[in-house]
Amino acid sequence: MPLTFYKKYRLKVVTLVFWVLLVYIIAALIWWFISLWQQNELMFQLRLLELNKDMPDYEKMYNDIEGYRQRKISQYIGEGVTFLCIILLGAIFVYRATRKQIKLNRQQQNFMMAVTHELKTPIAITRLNLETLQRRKLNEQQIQLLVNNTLVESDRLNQLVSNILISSQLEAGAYNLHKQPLHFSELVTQVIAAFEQRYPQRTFTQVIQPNVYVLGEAVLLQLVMSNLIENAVKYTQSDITIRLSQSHHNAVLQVADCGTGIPDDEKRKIFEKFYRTGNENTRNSKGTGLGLFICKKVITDHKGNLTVNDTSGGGATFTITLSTVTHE
Amino acid sequence: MSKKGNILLVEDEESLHHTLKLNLELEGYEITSAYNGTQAIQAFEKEYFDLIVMDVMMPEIDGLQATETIRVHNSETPILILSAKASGSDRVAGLKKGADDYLTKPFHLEELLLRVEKLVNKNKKIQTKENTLEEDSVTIGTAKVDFKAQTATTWQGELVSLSSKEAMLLKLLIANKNEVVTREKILQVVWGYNVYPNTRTIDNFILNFRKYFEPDSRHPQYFHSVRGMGYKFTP
Repeated sequence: MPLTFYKKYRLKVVTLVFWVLLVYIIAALIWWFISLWQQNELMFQLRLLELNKDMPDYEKMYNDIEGYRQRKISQYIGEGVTFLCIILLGAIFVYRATRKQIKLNRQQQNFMMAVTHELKTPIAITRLNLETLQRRKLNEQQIQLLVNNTLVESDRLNQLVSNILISSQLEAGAYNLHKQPLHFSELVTQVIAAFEQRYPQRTFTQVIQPNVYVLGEAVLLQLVMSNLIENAVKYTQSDITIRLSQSHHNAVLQVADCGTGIPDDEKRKIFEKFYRTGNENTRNSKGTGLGLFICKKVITDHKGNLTVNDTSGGGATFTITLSTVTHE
Repeated sequence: MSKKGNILLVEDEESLHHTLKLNLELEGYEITSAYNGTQAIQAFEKEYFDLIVMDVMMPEIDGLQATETIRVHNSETPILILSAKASGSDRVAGLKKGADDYLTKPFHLEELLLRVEKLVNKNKKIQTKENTLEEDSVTIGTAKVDFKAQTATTWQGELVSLSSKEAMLLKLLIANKNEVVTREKILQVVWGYNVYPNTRTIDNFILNFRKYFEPDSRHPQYFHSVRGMGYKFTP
């Protein structure tokens, strides 16, 4: 029981312990400062008492004692302030790190819930479709539909597994970019073609400037594009527009939808790892909260930029900016 | 009702929904589709189902909430939960909310079909048991009904013949005496409607019954209408 209590209120317990410790440390610091100060004053008084006013160099000796007192005071104040600063800096650091860790843990639990659904659903569909094909005598059209649905699910599973693997590698710093000149226009066209095949009922408008080359890793950039387009497919029912253009030395790729858009206060959060809007049980669409985190990380590692804006007339537009290379 | 049974399928994943529907239809069930909890509740209010197959993680209202809502109005229709959540506590939560069975994804098609069949058959048995009357004749005050001959002797001593629908409705009301029988149930059992039409048919039948069996049809003693719910027979 105490353990479950701790688990439930971990953030509060840790915060409380932290403040108690911090207050104690600062109180102790002030206490020692005061007692040293008092000691110093006492020493000064005692040494003055020992001094004979009739001595010829009384003035000089008095000045020496006074100087000593002044030096000690400055020393205590200096050390005290340095100490206080270090403690406060350390405290801020520990406070933020711990809170971040605990929050991340919580999000990770949400992530596990989401992943359960995201992993099991494609497996369930694949299994059911195959069993159906095995058990039933279906007509050619029905067979094609089931086979196609199964393929879509295996793509979905593949993308999910890629996201999980790459995010853990990115996090651990184990991923080394192998950047090479890429025919970006072609890569974008390929990704869109794959989506057109997967979602034949959706409209993908493409405005692609030909012969745009960037320096990058094809697998990762492909994953980024897939994640962005997949999001547009998942979160909206609208048409999706993909634009690629080159201005000066920048390739600008935009994925725009005409859905409900992203509220301003969530625009920053969506790039955080595991961040998902809404309740896990009743969310309007599926996901793990990894996709945009990976996009942001990959594009940043490519020294590029990923931003989100409102589409004019509603919806969200994700814009990737990457520096181009000349192709010889 | 030539079909094996009427099933409400609640599942938001389109591919899964499609293949499940295909399989259940091939087994001879009639399927009504819902893609979220709200649609499920709406469909449930309009139609009679022998079984509800319910997903849990869905948009808007999730499966557990939908199950709970349905159970407030109806405790009979069996609900089979189909969920990716496999832990013991998830199963317990599902069953506690009023589900009759819990199957985790991924599942064996055969197992699902068998469970569906058992739940549907069991429900049908319970339904027929509730709606059949053992006795061949019943007296209502001074009037008498002979179900074998499908005739009734009215309170005035007149012999009238009953239509088969009249006989069925009488049987249903008498079998559930002192209990309110809902309009939906009457339409489903007597008329075989799975979709509930908005009709005055039942009212006309009740008016006839009052003519036959109630000495004072303005202040009925035996056949009562319960506003907003249905009808009740009190002997």
